[in-house]
Amino acid sequence: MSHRELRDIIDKAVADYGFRLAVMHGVEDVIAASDLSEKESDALREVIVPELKELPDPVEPADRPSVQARLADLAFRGAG
Amino acid sequence: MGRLEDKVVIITGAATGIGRATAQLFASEGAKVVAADRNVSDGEKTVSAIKEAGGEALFIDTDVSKAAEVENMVEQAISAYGKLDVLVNNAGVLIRTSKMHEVSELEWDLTLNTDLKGVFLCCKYAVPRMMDSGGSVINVSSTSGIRASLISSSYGAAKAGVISLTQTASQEYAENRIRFNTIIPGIIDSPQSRGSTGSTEEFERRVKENPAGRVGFPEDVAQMMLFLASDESSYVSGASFVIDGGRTVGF
Repeated sequence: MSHRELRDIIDKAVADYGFRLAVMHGVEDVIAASDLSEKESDALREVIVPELKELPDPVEPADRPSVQARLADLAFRGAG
Repeated sequence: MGRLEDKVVIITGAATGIGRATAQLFASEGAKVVAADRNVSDGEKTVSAIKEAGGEALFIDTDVSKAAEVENMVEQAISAYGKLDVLVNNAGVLIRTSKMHEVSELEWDLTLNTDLKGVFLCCKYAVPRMMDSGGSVINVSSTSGIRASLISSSYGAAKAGVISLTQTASQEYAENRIRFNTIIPGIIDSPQSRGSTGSTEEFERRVKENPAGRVGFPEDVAQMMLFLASDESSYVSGASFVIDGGRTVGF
């Protein structure tokens, strides 16, 4: 599976603090508005949200690619 | 005697930044503060800080975009303190977006639901509790709401809407002695502001551009909130107050 939409949500949440807040504190709204599978939704809810809470504000541009890749890897392992 | 002695105040978005500073200042002036936010851990820290300083406060987990949660917030405030005098609609989210044709429906909805619908819902449920005794409603907009918002069209649209909503409400409820005013902050050193500028370098650049020679702090905004919440501003309604160190008029 490509997990394209899940990857987009992760990338945006790392790069943008406002979107990150929306995911952290309103993940069910984000899931409801998406086409994520059940496993992807679980990965976002249970794996990614706790990780997002630990990120600095902001994640500096130079650090974003590695953070995005790390979180995507964690999520995709959970989502199968 | 504090400037808000015995007034009951609801402040949304009270977990951090402007909301937290306002909650702490209001409590220090004698208000009973209902701090609402969907960020539970930081919201509870706001209340703890108030209580440690000898003030009175209560935290309510609230997503302002959900009618049932807003209704519950108001009911809990009334249940705890028996009345409502001041509502500060401060909760907001700034999601940076691309040009309009690339903005996703999700980005648009998340922004408008919190930043504009949230203000409407809080007014819808709180205003009836003020209609007999009067009160003050303070809505937080942004300089993005009075000029082009180059980092987020959805945020700019929502914040412009807040100003319109405030002006309309000031007319609709004048006979009930409920005052409505808008605060329009510029760049403020808050988690939201630092995060939304994208990088520390960009934030510092914007600070240097400010004619005041410094960034604003949440406490700068809280002082204006205090004036508008107090009886000192009893003849002030339907007005907007820009707090940006003079930056906007310099464009």
